[in-house]
Amino acid sequence: MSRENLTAEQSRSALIDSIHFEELFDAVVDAMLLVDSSGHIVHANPAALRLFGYAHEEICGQVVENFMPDRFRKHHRQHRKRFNAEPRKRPMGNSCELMVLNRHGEEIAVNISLCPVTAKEQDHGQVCVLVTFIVLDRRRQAECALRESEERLWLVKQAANAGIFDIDCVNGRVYCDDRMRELWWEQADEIMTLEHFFAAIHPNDRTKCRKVFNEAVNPDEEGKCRSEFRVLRLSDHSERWIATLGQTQFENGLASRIVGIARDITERKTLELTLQQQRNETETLFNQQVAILTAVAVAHELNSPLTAISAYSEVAQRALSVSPVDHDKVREAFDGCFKQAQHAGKKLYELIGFLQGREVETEAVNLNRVVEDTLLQVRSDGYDAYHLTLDLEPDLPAVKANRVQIQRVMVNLIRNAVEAMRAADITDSEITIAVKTLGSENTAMVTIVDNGPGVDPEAISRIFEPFFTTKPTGFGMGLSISRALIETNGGQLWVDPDFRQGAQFHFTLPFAS
Amino acid sequence: MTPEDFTVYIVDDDAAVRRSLMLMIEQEAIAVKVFDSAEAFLEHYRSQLKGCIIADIHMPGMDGLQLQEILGTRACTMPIIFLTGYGTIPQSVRAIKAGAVDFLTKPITRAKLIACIRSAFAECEKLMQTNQHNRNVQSLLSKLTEREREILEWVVQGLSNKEIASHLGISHRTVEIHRSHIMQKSGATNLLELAQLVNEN
Repeated sequence: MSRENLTAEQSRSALIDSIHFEELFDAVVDAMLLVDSSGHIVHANPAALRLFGYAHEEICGQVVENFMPDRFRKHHRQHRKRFNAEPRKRPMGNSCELMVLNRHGEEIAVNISLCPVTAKEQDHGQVCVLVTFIVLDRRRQAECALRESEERLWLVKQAANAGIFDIDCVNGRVYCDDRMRELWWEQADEIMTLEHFFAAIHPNDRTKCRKVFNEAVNPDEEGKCRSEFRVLRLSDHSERWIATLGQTQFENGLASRIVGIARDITERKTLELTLQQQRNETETLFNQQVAILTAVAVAHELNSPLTAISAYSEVAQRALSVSPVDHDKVREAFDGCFKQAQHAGKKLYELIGFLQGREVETEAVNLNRVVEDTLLQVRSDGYDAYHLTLDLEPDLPAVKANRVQIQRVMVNLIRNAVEAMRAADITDSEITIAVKTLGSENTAMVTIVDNGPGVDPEAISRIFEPFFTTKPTGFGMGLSISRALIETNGGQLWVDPDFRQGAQFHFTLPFAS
Repeated sequence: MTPEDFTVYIVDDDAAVRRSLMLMIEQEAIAVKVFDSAEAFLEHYRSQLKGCIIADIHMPGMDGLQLQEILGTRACTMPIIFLTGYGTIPQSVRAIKAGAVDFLTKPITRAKLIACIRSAFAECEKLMQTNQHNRNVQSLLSKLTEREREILEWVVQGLSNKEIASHLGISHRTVEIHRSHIMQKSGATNLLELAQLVNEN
């Protein structure tokens, strides 16, 4: 170090020495406390006095724990000991928001930093702590948080590609954001009437959506607004599948507002429909194979006896046509025919017995539950675009049946109904399922009604025959199998021939007791 | 058309089918023997047997197709008529490729069955004649000397006596003598017949 530098250094140090510590301490804008190693306050600057609301003489000599909420005091003593063992400059509480207590018992949020200060040797080199408080600005913080939260919300909305709707239930108006209007094929305004909002929904789905809406505004329900439906562009009939998820706000027991999001689920729906179609095709193919194999098995059992009967018959014919008649041959041939015909019959019964397998296992079944399970299944199969009315008899006694077979029959009947209504392009398709006790008999009856085209009167006598179908891709086994299953369970399955507003199927099952 | 020693061999595991077909065929004055399995038939089989075989394609144990395969390796001249049920098309294709003469779908009619048997007998007879003819040719050619056989090769290739003579380094006259011996022994009247004989062998 050069001579000049040394002089400058000395003079700077002399200048710093000459400035009184207290003056410097008091001039700092942030609140500061000087605390000794036992935790007693040695000095407080005016900013600190303002923060805590005490006079200098009131605050000095007190332990620091007196200026924090009761719940932190005990822990703080331990923290203080740890700090003394290893004093170093650091923020207190890992930069978290901390609380101090002012004279009026109010809690003030602050950040605190700690810095060890060593006293001069004449004061025994005691280590004190310089505590600096930075008061947090609550309002700015709140604004910040709001901005961040809004940003987060916006990002989520972008990520989900969701539109937002806000329905004013009192005035029947709907607010839509940009994305929502896009989802509505630009057929929506920022604010529009509820009618206008519903007009864009596919006619076949409108009834269902209104039902969801009515449930959502019903104060006795949970106010959930969850639905999947198609939105139609009127100009070219383009369709888009939408899923909505909303929540109703209630005021004085009345729905005031529904806020929710809508997402485009066309891709998923298309995939689901494709899968459904594939499943149906596979099922048809499988059924066909089963039928073919069954027919082959029957043919196999019958072939040999038929061959013998046919040959014996021709042998008898020939034996009768020669002169003299060969009576022994005729007798043997007819005997052979008779035995082979009996043999063929026996083989057939054996085969049917084998195909039917063991006895059907039945149990006490709650029919109402089976109806609910069936509805879950048909819904997951993609058969859900209809208005459903359930008319279940509460406390219906259990029936004695095989649950799987009964569910199979119900699925089949509902699918038939949906397919018939779809094929006929019924806009407000409806299915009613009723379960009740049949008169005074010991029997339960299930009725499934649709408002489709109904069963053709000319076909009605044949619909339960195997391989009879009116569907272009049908296999014609559904109803005949269903009837066989119900009969196996001790019930009956029939169609009401006089019902004209659609198709009405009934089946019965005996009660368990 | 039906030589007396021609027989129909029925191989079927169903007793009633065997018996009824047997009665039917016997009414046509055709000899019939029945076997309840392919194994039982093979035990009885000799290559001299004449006639045809009617076999069910489906049988427990050895089936009709396996029987056909084994007979193919045992110089069988008898054609096989297969009895089939439904849904046996793949097997039928295999059987045709292996040379089956006919298929009859159960149940069968007398008219079809007898027509099949008659054409199978005809086929069997033709096969046996061809075999006989082949055996004859073979014995004729075996009478030739080594030199004559050597010259025969050249002759059927269309070489002249002169060319053969110069190839073998013998006189044209010697070739001529050998050649007349060949014609004598084989019984052929001209070169074309001679060439046919050699080809058939």
